[in-house]
Amino acid sequence: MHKHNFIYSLILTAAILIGAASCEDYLEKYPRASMASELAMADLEGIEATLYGLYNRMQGWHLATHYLAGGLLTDELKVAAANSGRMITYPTNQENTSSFVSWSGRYNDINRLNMMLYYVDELEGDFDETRLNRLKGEAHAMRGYIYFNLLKVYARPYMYQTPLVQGEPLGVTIKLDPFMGIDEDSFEPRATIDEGYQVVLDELEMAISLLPETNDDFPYRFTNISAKALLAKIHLYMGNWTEAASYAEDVIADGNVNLTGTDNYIDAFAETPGSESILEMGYTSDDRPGMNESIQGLAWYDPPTGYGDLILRRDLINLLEEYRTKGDVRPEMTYEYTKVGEDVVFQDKFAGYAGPHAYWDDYPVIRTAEMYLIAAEAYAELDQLTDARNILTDFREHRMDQENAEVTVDTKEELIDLILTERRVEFFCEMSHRWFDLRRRGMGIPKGCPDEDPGIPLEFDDYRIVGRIPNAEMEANENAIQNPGY
Amino acid sequence: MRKKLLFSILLLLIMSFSAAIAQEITVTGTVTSAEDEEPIPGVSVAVRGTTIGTATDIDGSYSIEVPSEESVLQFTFVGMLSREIMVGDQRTIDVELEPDIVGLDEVVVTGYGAIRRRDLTGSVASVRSTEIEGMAVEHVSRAIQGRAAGVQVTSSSGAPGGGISTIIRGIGSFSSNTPLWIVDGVEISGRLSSLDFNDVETIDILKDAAASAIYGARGAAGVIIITTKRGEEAEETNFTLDVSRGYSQGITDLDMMDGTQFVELYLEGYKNRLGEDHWFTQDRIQDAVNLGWMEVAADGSYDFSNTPNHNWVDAVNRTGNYTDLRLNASGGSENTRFYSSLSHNRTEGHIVGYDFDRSSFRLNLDHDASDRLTVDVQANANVASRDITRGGGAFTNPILSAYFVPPINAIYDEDGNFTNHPRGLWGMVPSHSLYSMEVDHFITTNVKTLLNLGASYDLTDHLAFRSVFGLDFNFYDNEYWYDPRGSDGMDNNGMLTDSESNDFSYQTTQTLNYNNIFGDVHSFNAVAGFETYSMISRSSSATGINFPNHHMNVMNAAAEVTSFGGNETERSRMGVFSRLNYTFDDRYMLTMTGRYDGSSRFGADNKWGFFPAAAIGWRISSEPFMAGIDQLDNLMLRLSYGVSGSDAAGSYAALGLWSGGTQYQGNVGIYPTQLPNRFLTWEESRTLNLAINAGAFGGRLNMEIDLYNRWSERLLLGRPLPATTGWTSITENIGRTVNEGIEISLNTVNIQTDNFQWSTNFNISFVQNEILELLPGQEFFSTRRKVGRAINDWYIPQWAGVNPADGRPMYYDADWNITYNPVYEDRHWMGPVQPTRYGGITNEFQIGNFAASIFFQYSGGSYRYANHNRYVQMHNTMNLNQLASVWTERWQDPGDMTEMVRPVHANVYAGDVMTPTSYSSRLIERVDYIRLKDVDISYTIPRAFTQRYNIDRLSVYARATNLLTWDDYSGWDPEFTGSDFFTYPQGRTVTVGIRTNF
Repeated sequence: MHKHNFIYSLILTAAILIGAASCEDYLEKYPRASMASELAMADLEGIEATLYGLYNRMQGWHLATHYLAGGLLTDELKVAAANSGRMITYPTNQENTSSFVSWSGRYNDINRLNMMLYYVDELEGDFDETRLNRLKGEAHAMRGYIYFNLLKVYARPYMYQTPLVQGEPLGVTIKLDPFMGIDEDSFEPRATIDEGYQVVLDELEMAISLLPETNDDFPYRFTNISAKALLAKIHLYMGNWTEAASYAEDVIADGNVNLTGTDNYIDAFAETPGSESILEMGYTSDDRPGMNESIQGLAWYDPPTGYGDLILRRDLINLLEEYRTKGDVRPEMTYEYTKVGEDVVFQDKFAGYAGPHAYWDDYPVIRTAEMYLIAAEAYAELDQLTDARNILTDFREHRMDQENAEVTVDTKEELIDLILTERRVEFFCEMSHRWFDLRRRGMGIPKGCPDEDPGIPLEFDDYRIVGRIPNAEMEANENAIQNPGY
Repeated sequence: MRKKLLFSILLLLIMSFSAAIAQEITVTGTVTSAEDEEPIPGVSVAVRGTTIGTATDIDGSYSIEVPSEESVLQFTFVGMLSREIMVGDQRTIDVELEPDIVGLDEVVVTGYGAIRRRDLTGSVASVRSTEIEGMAVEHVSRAIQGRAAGVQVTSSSGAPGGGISTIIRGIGSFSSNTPLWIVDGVEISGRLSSLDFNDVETIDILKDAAASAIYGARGAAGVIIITTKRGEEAEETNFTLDVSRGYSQGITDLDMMDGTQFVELYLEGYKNRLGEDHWFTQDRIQDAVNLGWMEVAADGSYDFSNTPNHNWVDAVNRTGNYTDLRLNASGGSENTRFYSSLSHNRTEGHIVGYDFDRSSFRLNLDHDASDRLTVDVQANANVASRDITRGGGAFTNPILSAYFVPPINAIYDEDGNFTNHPRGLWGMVPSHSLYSMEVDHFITTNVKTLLNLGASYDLTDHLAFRSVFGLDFNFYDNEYWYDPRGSDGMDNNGMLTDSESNDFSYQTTQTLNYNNIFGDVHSFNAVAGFETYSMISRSSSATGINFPNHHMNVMNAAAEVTSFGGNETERSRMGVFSRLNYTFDDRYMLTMTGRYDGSSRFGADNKWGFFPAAAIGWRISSEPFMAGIDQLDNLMLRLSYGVSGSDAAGSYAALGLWSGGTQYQGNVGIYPTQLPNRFLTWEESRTLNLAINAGAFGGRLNMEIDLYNRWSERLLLGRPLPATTGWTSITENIGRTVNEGIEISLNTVNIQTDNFQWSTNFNISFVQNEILELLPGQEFFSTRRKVGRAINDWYIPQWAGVNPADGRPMYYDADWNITYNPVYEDRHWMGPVQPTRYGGITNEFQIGNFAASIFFQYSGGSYRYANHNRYVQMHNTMNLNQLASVWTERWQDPGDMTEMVRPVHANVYAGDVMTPTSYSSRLIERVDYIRLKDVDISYTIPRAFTQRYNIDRLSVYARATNLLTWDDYSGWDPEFTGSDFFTYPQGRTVTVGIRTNF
């Protein structure tokens, strides 16, 4: 009996000890894979890491869709007869295809930038002022750049705001403070287009004032010079020709910026970074895009590499052939192929410089060529036709036989036509340039050769020119207004 | 501190019930079976209302010391009606036990204790080992499918170890509807597929809150309690050897186009799109001729007599087989008893490339250290490995590609080898799935070990203390190898993904059990306890590429590691609980339960929750006024109401979080992943249950009907935020739903003679779910949720068929008028997704030495999206093989009434027409089915013969599963839920086996 009493006491003691183990501590569990916001944003390292996280995101959306959607929506690209089913709704401009910059994704980025810029002002202690300013400058540049992209997709063009269909011309929602969570339940309506562009200008001008002239990590991050290049572009979109020309000339004059000649134009796309790049998304082996998201995967073909889905439209092929006769180097960035019986032409700009199966290229966001063409267009619009002709001739001399390079057209209209043609030849398969060029100039969307299938041109007043605000936004925000037509 | 105090007080209170030990009387006797007058070993002999008890030995005899002459002895044994006898002046009590046909006296495990079914006030469904013995299933859930009212078992794959879900009384929560699984008193995490269900003695399913509230924080979706077999004292160790072998064949099949139809469909598509004379159409015709797919005769007609036709589906299916070996031994001495088992199963699946292997070991040990102290150990280890193929939407998934690959593509070349990758052929299938399957491998290994140690100590005759420590360790290893010779690994010169994860959970439970009877009519049974549970999960994985060759395929051989990762999550709970059962005169019963539980998952101010329940029962048949009705064995009404909870939020759901793991140009990046919610707390379910139990004709008829309402409240939902905030949602406790249901189960013994017995076991459950509240003031959100509809109803554009005039697809708009391009607002509601009725019926026959059972299982009322049909009813978009009906039933001429559109290349129709392949109700079907799930026949060789060879019992058996299905569903398998997408099909199996006891 003594033995049993002993065991009984032992068990009971054990039970009470376990019961007495600190209850509250037992229920405190924190993750090791994540950390709380206050901790994450408590030092400059956290702020800087947030910026890298954002560059990683920017890489993520500067991929095939962002570069090629605009081509498919216009007279630049279409889908081959034998295809993998990817992007097949784009050539017929089906609904939602013009919303190819993700609304929710970009506002997620903006909120991160808002948090970063909010917490950076809360930091305490001594910091390297230059480093701090550079981080802030990059954040402002990126926020401006993202708002510019949202405006390009979800609002009517700045210069042609008056809607030809019913409804108010609206910009996008402007949010410059971080979202505070559970206690916040009223949400912003959309601002006007003018307000939107003003924010974009403010952000980039702020960025220029903060970013050091040293342009470190050029062209892989936002730098003083790339902020200026972006401003040139934004002013062009706004029709502020004087500012556009002046920023473009500033950039061209910068020591970091080169315009390649005919001899090394082709190499510029296979180099890392590209010798013409002012801002470029660089990939490493850890984050290369892969078959489904790279341009090489979708718009290049050398079995078994690539789907070879996206091919050049006949109108562009004809235009390139015409340039080829002038000794132009740019048509060399294409190749012919017979794909399952169909004679097609593929782009060869993004052919995977790291090898046939690597699906790995750097993707330029802004190139020097764009600065020349912005300046030329701005001068033409300002009726400085000689300046326009000169800079365009200079540009063409870097692309084709010298004897064919000189620009001889007389009128402003002809000159602008020529500049738009040059842009088609220069920028096919890059950054959806064609789509945005047509939009910003208030033009309809052509589909090229009339007998080519599929090909239904879009009028400029078509509702599909402007992207659709996602349903999730409409449902969660009672102040949200959908774009007309959707 | 508060909890500590509470616990101590509870402990002391219950201990104070201890009574002094009175002078004792010794009673002896023998227990025999009324059927054959053989002694029964292992019968539990207990003094009612105390913890005093013993068991009969091999000769059926016992000896017990009782406190007084007023003591009542209880004799209970599985499968026998229990008896109670007052001691009086008797010192020798011999007892005969009658067989219990319907299990009224069976013991039901209710969590931290057990109770006779007749005294039960909550709703508990039980499945006994005899019903499921020898089934050809590998998951314990499969064994209860259709056998327990209110329990719905579905799966998304027919593969051993494949996805299976068990839902009790329908889904009520938006986040988790998984019941809590308890094995021998210990919570089990991870996959249960490795538990060998042949070791299972009983499965008790706690359905209403009165039953599950004792599990407080975890009981909202019901509790499934598994009790494994235990050894009994025996003169000789009892061995059972069971060997079986079976064959299986996949039961899903789709009728696909042949080579000729394939070529015809796509040529017609080009013609209908561009016209026959268009250069592009002409080029395609020329292709078809050049590739030898057809010939064009002089008159321009097509000749398909030499068109190749290769049946990929046949090439991928095979007759599967499996071998099952099981050996168990049980027995022991008076003080130490054991049950041990060893089993091995090897399966070659009915799809090429699928092989499964499973071994399991168990040892259950009980030792009586003294009259008062018993220690027990349960040890269980399982190893399961699967060698499968790539699944899902990859072209190298052989099940998928068997249906996708154009039948004109050859499988083998002239030498019988696999053809070279037919990448770039007209069909655009960039891989040869069978070749990839041969060189790639997908191996998953799962090791599960369960270990628990228990001790019971009788503090007094009325009070017992029990302590349980349980460990559950799961280890998973996945190795996915994409061979450089196969199409998936080619681009990377071979790719290897190696991932490992493990989870480890640790539980401690201390309980006090009090049992007493006052004045012969007031029977008390109380339990109180304290429990802690914690779990930690870890995982890591890496992917490497660029291997020198296919012989070197471990991570060290990779030239480049492209991704790697690792994570850890941890959670914990603790709680105190108590339950009181009171019975007055076998007529009135009252159960009160309460549990106070804390979880690490919630915000600081909302960690703790209290979960009470109460139930009453009234046995009308024991009332004096019912005394005259002899045919009625039992008539009882039960009513219960209670609350149970669920902490099925993410492990750190209440915290605002940032994560890392991204980089740009080699610099580490971080990003916010979760908004904090300091208010986050328990989900709760409140159940009101009204039931009637009735038994009549000496156990020949037994019926149970349950009516219930289960309100699930404070449900965790992501409140959608406008994207402009940077977030898509924040998790809050906002939803409320109700499940209303009826469950009927009926057991009858239809015929019972000396040589023939026929019994039927029938159950059916009806359940309906309705969303009562979403966001405050909001009727609808998140595309598929609406107040008044069930969870996950479809909100979808409505298909209106094919326009008989021109073959274009038609849809309905918001007002049910025809439209060709429905917009978002044109959607209509359809549903529910979950079945609204389900159940099963088993008929068992016993004719002499033959036994047979036939089991049907049924389910109905659900609306399912036939997901895979999206890809084999794509018409002319992707040049993949299609259902034969896409061609044979296509629209051809004005006036054709059909569901299959006119073939047009890329499905581009004149005007603004939404392609038929878009998301619409076209592929949603109502699913109702009855399946002949299981037929089992066995013959026991006469004992007189087998005993000559020292064999106690020898039986041979044959079993067939999934023999017949009655359904209208055109999809993969009516039984499958979830992503019904070219998953491993269920098998129609035939098994033969021999079971020997010696």
